[in-house]
Amino acid sequence: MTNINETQINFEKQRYQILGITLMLMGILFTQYFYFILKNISLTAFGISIIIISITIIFLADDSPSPEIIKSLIESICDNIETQLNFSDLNERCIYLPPRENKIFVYIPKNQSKTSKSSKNTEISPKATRSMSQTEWITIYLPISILLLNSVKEKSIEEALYEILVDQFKTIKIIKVVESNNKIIVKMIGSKIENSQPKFKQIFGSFNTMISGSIISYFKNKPLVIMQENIVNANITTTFEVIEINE
Amino acid sequence: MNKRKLYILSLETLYALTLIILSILRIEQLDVYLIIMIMIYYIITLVFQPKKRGIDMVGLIFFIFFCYLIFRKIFAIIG
Repeated sequence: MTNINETQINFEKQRYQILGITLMLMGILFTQYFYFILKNISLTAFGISIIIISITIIFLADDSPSPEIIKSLIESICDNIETQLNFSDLNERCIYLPPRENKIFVYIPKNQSKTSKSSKNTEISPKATRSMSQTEWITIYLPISILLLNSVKEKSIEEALYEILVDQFKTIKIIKVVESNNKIIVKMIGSKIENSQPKFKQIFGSFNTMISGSIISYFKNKPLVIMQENIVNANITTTFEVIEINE
Repeated sequence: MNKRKLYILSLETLYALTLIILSILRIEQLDVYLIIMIMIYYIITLVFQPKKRGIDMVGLIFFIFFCYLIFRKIFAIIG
């Protein structure tokens, strides 16, 4: 698995170099053909422009942080949250809240057995019509939120998720989003990161699910819960439910 | 779209526009095409300031070539 991931990362690094070299070879062939055989100056200039662009592409460095840096950054974020969670008695799935002042918060219900009598009758499994005031909660601010929200403006949900998870974090390869009523199914293929933090996974879902939940709650501007998360090999299928709040 | 993609796209677009305009104007001197393309490269690189591997090899080659073209013109005028 590790070898496959390393090969994928190396291929992504070399993708521009391969494109550049291919373009340069084509440019050299075109230029010679246009100049010596067709004797057309405009077309020769076209060939030269291809060569210039190809050399520019070859010598351009990747301006995004390397996948190794992103991976270690994500792991440290998850570890920090896991450490915080280990000091608490939180076990229930969280609710992703729409952002306030460009910050993403999650509500985590406190463990049912230790909460007050009044909250005992409340179902912890997410229900769309559940009243939040009946249960005790803890709010956690996700420090990754500023990075997320600045990148997703003026995009659709799928485009935003693609931009963050595929283009920027490079933690998955393909993403598909299906919406039906108040349910949103996100299928993420080729996950390159695995959460080793059990409590984090239990409360937020996998890292990719956490990011998806945060972004979807931003777009829907409503609270969101994870109904189901299936992880098979490197493929993650997460079903979210948008909570309609009764006012 | 990230800065790198935007830089390449801008370069391609401006080169394409230059080629079309100069072809319409029926300019048959390769020097003119090259000088304009070199200038576009420098302007776009200055605007976007992309991260390069090591020194800017393309810029260096262009600078030497640009100097060669200019000196050739000067000597042609003097001579």
